[in-house]
Amino acid sequence: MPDPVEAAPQIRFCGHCGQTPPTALAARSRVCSLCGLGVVISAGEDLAPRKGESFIIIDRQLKLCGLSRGAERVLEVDEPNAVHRHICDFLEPADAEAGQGDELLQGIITASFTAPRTLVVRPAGEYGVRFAARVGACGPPAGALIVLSTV
Amino acid sequence: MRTLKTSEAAAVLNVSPNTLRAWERRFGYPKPQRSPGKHRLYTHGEIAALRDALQEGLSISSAISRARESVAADTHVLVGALAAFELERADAAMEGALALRSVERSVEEVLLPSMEEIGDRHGTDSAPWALAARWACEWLGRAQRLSPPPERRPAVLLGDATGDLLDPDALALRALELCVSRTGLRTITLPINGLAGLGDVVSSYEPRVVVIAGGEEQDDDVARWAYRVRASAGALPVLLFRRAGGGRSRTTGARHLAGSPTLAARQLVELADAGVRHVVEEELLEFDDGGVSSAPRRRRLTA
Repeated sequence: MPDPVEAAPQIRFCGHCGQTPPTALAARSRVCSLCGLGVVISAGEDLAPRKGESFIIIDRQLKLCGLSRGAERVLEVDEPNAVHRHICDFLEPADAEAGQGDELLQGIITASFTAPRTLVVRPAGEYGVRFAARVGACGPPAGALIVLSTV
Repeated sequence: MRTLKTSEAAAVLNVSPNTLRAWERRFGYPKPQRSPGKHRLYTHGEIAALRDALQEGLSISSAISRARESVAADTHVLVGALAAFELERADAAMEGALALRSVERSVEEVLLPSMEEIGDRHGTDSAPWALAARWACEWLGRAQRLSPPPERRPAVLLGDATGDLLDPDALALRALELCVSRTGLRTITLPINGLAGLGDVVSSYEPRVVVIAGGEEQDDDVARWAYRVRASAGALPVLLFRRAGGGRSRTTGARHLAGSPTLAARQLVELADAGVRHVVEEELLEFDDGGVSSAPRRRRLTA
């Protein structure tokens, strides 16, 4: 029986500058050859960040691993100071009635194991700013990618 | 300990040397030492830990955090060994630390923090502290015996104003002795309360800098000792290490060295080198003016 949801082709990009490695050799390298400040990871084409989009990478424990330059500006935090902190310290569901981030966590976990999905979030403790967050799996190693676009 | 040049470290990590320097600026890791020519020297262990962590990390930050944790594990091992009174295991922990770091960094990042942890847990008037402090002093003594012999650089006179073995400053003084001697400077440590024959020893070694370390001895005793030293060797600069107060002493004008033995050793080297340059310049001027060399004057430094 064919898979009802066909997986999008995987593309490789830098976990900090978001750019695609310029050559096949650079794509096999672990560290981005363009900015040198991010690890080259893979995600589905429908999930991977497009030019100018901010994104966040989290690990299996839902702790923050990496931030794009744009996400550093949006969340007003530097990546070295943000790693190993829980994602709920940075993002909350935009729906105030969604509870203490439970819906966000549930959405991330579900999207990481199935197909990417879109959630509406806001920076923790901020009101009036909302993002449409595309969430899905990335890696290796296995983690989740959250791409933020303005609503 | 195996060290790598920037290009070698970059090759191990499959990044450019510029990337490695960018990581040092942004993340403070890997933290290189400097060669005598001021070039970066990376410890192989740190680079290897980072290479492994990069394979398992989703970002440079998390890989560096993981590599730091694996390097910091030595402190936990040493604290565990000392807390269990297993001194052979403590020796092994320091051997492990030396595989990843220089002697100076092993002392600064593993031995001294571990001793601080033991002191916090049991108190510095306890038997576990005494056992650990004795082991640490012996280890530092062994490391100093294995240090290269002093070059022709000038000597540093260390006045020991610390208490007994239980005094944490005594351990810091041993660490300072080690760090200073590894820079090539000769060190002589004399107790503050031993005045008899002090002039003969000081005249024999001709120290260029005097350091008074520890805060156990009374100011009067320290002043008496410093007076005797200056009476024999002239107006040498006197610096304080781990003695109460910071900045500059109100009464003597003596400067305080950094509390960290490695930083304090670096300050002493700079001071001694500056003194040597000053003396060499003085000698050159004398030669140019007179054309005939006279008996070398007593070399003195001013604070």
